[in-house]
Amino acid sequence: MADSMCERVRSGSFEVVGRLDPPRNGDLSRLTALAASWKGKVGSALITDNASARLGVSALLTAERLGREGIEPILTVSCRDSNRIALGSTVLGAAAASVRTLLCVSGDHPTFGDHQDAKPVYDIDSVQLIAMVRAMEQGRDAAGNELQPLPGFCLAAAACASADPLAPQLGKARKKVRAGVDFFVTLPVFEISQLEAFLNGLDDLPIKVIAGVLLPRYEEVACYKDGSIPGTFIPHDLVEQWRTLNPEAFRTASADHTKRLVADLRSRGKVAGVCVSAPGREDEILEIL
Amino acid sequence: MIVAQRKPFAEIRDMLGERSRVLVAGCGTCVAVCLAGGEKEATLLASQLMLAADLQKRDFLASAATVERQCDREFLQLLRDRVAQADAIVSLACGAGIQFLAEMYPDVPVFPGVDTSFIGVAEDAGHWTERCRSCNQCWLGITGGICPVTMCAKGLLNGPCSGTVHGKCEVDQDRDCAWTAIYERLERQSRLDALEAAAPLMKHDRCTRPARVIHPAYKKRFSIG
Repeated sequence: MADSMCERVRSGSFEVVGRLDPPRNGDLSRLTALAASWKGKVGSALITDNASARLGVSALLTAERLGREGIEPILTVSCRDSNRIALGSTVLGAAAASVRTLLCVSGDHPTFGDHQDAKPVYDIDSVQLIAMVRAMEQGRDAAGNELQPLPGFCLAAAACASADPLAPQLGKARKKVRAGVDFFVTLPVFEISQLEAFLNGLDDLPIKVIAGVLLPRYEEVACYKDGSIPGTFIPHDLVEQWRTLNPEAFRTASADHTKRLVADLRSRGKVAGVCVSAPGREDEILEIL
Repeated sequence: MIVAQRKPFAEIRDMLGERSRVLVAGCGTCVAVCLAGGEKEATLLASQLMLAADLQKRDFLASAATVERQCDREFLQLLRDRVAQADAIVSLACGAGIQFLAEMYPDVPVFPGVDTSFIGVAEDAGHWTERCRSCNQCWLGITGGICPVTMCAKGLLNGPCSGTVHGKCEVDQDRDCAWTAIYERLERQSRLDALEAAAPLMKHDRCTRPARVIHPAYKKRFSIG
């Protein structure tokens, strides 16, 4: 493998990213063991930042730990829980910890999480966060104060490829590109057709896209409706099909479906890689690759 | 207008405790329009308090008085004689009016009879919605007259989040996605170029609390600048 995931993505090799949610306890051993088992098969680990507004170990600390263990982390930096000072602090921390790749997101609203009455911060948004990191690389913080220029980061941004309507989403994606993002990671898709309009809408730009895929939990599918998983739209016929199955059959069918999707994404060559999310089913990620 | 909602009766009764001479002060402007704290609501609350005290056979007197605006000293002064006879005031004005009343009559406990909800508009009879967070830096010129600070649940300034659901909000699908609406409005006006540039960071130092505004013509009078 090339030196970093960003270089691999730029060079055109197909990157496999595995999502890891830091645990809701003070013990990272299970997470690091899981990530270690991915070595050689998963190129990098996407460390979420209190994913779905649920409490977890600090994403920066987790990324730093994984990096020390030889697993390349992509650190999610969410605007939901931190103001521009705290976000700047995280960026400085990432530089200090040699975390080179950041996924800059606004973050799911706290009403989806386990602290529903928490104050949503959103002092800045994802476009502004990308611009802020680029400015910090040039030696300016968000307020314009001088600081020692940071080493260059590889910056990723999220986008919902299957958004309806798509045009406002594409408009924002273009802003992210102008702000300096290196590649996109889409919210999960379940069929390649969910990506096409988004990819076509950006095809005049030299920007790479990593497709998100999701191995959903049985309970998520059982109570799924559009909007129940932010930014994730499971085709209705697939939902209906999965709902006819018992939990074990669903497990097999959804893994097979995701495996075929990953293989198709890899063979068609339109995306730069996949980011596999499987909250609660992380142990199955290797099976679908 | 400022929109407020009457607090539950039990909460108001419990705040008053053993106080027995209560003035219910209504406000004749915003809270009257939103049916939370005008003359009718003040009279009704005074009657409710009297009935509740009667049931407990307490020596209790509540009366109502409503002024044009509680956010103006000249109207609050009109309550002076009524306040003198009270050992507590329940104000049905917005949070600003309640504080101004309490400031004018600092010896008498003032309790809120409403929860102040937002700056908004009347959608229909009995239906109000929020429109402004008074951030002191209006974005409406570049967002098609739809405020992203207020109308987007996350207050995002540069476009929709990934959670928008068929043009509705991630947080509540009964609400429109502000950024979908902004995009459609600007497209209708052939002004999508207004969204090309990234919006600058919000200037929170322009909305430190408590805020203050002095009209330029009055700066000398108030020794500013």
